[in-house]
Amino acid sequence: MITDANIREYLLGRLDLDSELVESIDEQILTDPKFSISVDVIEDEIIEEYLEGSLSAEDMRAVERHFLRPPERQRKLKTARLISRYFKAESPKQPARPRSLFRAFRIGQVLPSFRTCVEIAASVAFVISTLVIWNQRRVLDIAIKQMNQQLVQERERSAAANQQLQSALHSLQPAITMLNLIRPGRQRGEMEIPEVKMNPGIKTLHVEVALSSWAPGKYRVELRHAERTVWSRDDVDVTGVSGGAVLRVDIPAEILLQGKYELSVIPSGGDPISYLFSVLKLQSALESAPSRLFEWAFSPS
Amino acid sequence: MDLQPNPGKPRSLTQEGFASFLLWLSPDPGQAAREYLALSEKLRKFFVRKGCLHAEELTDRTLEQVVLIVQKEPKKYSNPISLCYGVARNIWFESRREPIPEALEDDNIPEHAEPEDEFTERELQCLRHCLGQLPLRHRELITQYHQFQGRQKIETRKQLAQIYGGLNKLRITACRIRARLHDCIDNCMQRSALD
Repeated sequence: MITDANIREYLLGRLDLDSELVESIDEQILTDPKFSISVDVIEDEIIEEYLEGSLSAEDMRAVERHFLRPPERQRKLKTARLISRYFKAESPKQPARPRSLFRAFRIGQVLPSFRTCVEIAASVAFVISTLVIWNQRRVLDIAIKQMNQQLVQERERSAAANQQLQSALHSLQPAITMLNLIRPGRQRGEMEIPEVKMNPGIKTLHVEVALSSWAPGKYRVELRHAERTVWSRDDVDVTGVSGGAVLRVDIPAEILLQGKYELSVIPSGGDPISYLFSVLKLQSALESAPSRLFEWAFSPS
Repeated sequence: MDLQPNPGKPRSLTQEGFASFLLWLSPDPGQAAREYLALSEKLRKFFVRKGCLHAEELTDRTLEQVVLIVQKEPKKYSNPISLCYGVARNIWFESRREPIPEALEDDNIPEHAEPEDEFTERELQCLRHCLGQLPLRHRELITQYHQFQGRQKIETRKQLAQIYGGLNKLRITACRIRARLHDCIDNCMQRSALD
């Protein structure tokens, strides 16, 4: 009859190696799977006791000199130490009491003890508070969800209103903007050049050039940007006014990019007179004040 | 048949001999391979339990010897594990006669001491991962089984034994779960070493 104690002695290398008991254990280890599992269990328990330090000094020596010789067992010891430390670190302060409630009410134990009653009451109180907290949290979650939905709807409404406003502004925008040029470029010195702001709805830039000296006849007008002529018009009339004349041209807005421009007024047979101005392209009608329906770009006199 | 190994005689294990051994284990090649691996694992455990330092090497020697025996007289033996047992014991006796390195003097043997090194984060990650792989019932069992020490441990295990059908069943179940964890952690660490 092989007992657990025999197996333990076998594993610690303390049995007579030539004995029939060892031969029998050897044989069963190889041929009987159930027996082999029993040996595994005892092997694990030796490791557990070794880790706990609960082995006798003699057993400890046997473990270190015989049991732990194979590298496989050393690896097993290492893993067992990892598992043991992990669970001890994770263990609660109070021991778990599996099935304590079940045991308290089992047949033959009619009245639970005072301590059990206190435990039950504490458990019930804990469950109720947990439920209350859970319910409050659920209500809060629902409220947050509703607020988020409202926020999304508000955002959508706001986006739609913004779009409508943009379209309305586009429809209110004049298709024309005006620019008056008085002082030719060569007379400007350090003066700031006039700037015209072009909204997306503008189709035409109406330019009126004040000429202090003029000659009757037709004029040629050229518009230059980035050192090249981007637009020109021949046979432009001028209108005589008190102290000079006014030349009027309409420049299509589509050719105007953001930047500096030079408008040259060339009388037939005379020298060209240049006027400088800059164009600022606006992305949206909202960028300019809605009340400014016309853009005047007078240079300071 | 003489099962005694002869260390002086050169080994004559051939591919044909090994193939005929597999055929002797089973005519189905897949089944034969599984049986071969199972035999090898049983032998390795056998030598480990006997406290052998080189269990793998003794296992290989045993299997080589068994293959040669079967190649020589295939019809004489019908039970592979019984044949392996006889050869393994002889190999083990033979290994005991081999010279072993001189033991250290008692004074030089380091005393048992709790290793100071903490486990690496990777080892803990592997353990958590492997615990996560266990079924909930097993995870709870192994957690409670190892949570306490001393008196608390004894009480907890008694209560667990009531739930799990007796102390012996509990010990076996816990042992199997630990074995599964051990294998899983080993594999996990090997994988992370390769990364």
